[in-house]
Amino acid sequence: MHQLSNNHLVFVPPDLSGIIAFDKSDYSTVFIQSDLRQYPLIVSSNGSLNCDFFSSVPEADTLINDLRLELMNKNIMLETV
Amino acid sequence: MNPIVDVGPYRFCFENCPSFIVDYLVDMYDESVNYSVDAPVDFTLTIKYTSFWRRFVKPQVCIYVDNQRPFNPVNPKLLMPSIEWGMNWCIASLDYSKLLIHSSVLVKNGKAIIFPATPGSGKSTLATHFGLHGWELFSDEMAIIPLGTNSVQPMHRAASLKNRSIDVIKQSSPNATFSPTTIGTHKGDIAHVKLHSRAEFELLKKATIVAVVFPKYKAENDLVVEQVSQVEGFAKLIHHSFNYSVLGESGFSTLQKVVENSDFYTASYSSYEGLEKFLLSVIET
Repeated sequence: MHQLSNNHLVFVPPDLSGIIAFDKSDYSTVFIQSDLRQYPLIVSSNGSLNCDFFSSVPEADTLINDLRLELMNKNIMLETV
Repeated sequence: MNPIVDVGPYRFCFENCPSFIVDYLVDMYDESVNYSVDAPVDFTLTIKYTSFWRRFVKPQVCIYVDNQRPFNPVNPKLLMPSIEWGMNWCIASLDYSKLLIHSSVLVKNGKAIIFPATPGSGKSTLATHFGLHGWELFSDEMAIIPLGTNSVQPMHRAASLKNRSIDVIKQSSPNATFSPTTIGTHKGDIAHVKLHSRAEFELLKKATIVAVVFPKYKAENDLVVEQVSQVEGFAKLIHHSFNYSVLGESGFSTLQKVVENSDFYTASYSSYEGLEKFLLSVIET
């Protein structure tokens, strides 16, 4: 299971060209460019990141797996038990 | 009495204003210039000679903003553009109540296209041309976006033209009201053009941002338009913003609203006709 960090606001733009995260603790903005057009379920109804989506994708999907790791390395998304 | 210029979202008071500057302000801003102190002033710009002797020998004046001196002294001959740059500086540096983007803004049918660009890319010339030919020019210098919205509000300002742009606009709009040209500023020769009377300005209403175009003038080139992804567009808007870095969450959520409702393009152009066709197609979709 995954959840968004409390420190971040996350935005997935409607053209699904990547993920933008704002860090409330230092006002920095992180951009991850990635073609997510074949994954419309990655965006939640309010335009944020749907963390549940990552559990529904097979581990063999390298694009999403790499994205998951990048989000976790940047502390934007956290793994929960 | 000190003239006060009401540009819509902001009011500027000018102290110790030489008569040629008052004349300039009246030419460019007509009824937006008044002497009424019945409403608060946002910024007070005071013009002072740097010393008694500098009135006579190599004259030098300074523009103070609310009793601070943020600018280097200038020759009084350069005061006209310096006043305009001072007004821009006040807004860009001191207003944290709106998201400000270094951009010109054109509006048609209540829909706004913003043109963020670096100096020298031709954004003011482009905006002035269209502002004098059927479009509403909200600003040739900055997009003023109220926080939490994807709308942009108009500002009653003259457009600033540099060097060859002055002749380009004088040729395409010979009946427009131009200021005298100031020769030899650090940006070259500068003239300002009046875009609206006060009455025309008061008819302008906030407009919804529907597209962001990053313009680049390239002589003798066909129009080349390329779509830009929204992630890249978001990053470019931050790059061109004056105050995103201090607005925090409200700046991010405001840009989010702008980005999720806008298409992004780069456009290199050499003729206004081709560019206008493209802009109209953006407005109509």
